[in-house]
Amino acid sequence: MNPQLTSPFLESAKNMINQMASVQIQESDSFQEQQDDIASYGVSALVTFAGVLKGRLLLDLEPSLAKEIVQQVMGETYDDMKDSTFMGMMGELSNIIGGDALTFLNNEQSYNLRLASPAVFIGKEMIISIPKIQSATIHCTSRHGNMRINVAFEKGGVA
Amino acid sequence: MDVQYITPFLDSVKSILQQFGIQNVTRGTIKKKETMSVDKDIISIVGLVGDVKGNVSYAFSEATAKNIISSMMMGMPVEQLDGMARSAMSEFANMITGTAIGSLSSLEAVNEVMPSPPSIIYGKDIFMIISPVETLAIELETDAGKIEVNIGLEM
Repeated sequence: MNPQLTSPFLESAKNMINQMASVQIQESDSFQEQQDDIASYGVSALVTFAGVLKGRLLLDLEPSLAKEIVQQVMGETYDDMKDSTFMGMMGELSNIIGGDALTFLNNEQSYNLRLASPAVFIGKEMIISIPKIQSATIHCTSRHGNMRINVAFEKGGVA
Repeated sequence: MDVQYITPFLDSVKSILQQFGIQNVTRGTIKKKETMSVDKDIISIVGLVGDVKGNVSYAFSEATAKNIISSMMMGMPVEQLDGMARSAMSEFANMITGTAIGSLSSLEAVNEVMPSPPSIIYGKDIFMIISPVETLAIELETDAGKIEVNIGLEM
């Protein structure tokens, strides 16, 4: 997939998580084509968008990293990830990252992309698939756990 | 959330299922979702962008999903939820949402709505939130099994 479409999401994720929660995220490779379904780390926040192109941003985090981010932002510890504030915060995080990346993309190219509402999923042995649509994943590490960022664009991002 | 935004989704589930030969679709309880738990194995979720913004998800048990996919594919038996089956699930969500958007567009307040690509999530003990505002959960009883439609619109 075109790196110009995927890299803004990585940059926004790194910047926003650092600004909001002072957690440093480091990518461990480059965006790779996602061939199979994604086996979730445990906490998944997804937000879809549409405009000239259509697509989806998926943030998949290990519970330890998700808890650290929420704790840093809210100033409170949440042991129960099913707490509505916890899940709402994860949704807001994906909204902020997605919004920031889309603003960049819209300014660079007139894609006119707009976000739908974020959705957050927490569960055991979750598998996430986006059938028939090309997507690319980048793995990231931090002191508090791993995360992956998956960006999907319909038709591989060709308008 | 106004009822005029809800009925198009329920009507389109019914009409799409009937096109596949699943005739009996009855509306069960409608409730504002208080807990975020989903007791189904498979969730198909579609986003909406434009004058109607939010997410709509359709949740099924594995058996129900297999029944629906089988009727979509002219009665071909579905042994497992492989790539083909998942593709059919996302197409099912696309068809329902597309039909619903058609009826939503006839509302005066709605000029433009666009669906975004469906995602499929499956697993156990899934908790989800699909809207920062409120979510309505509607149980539908069908010949293929129960379908839970969750509608979370920011309006």
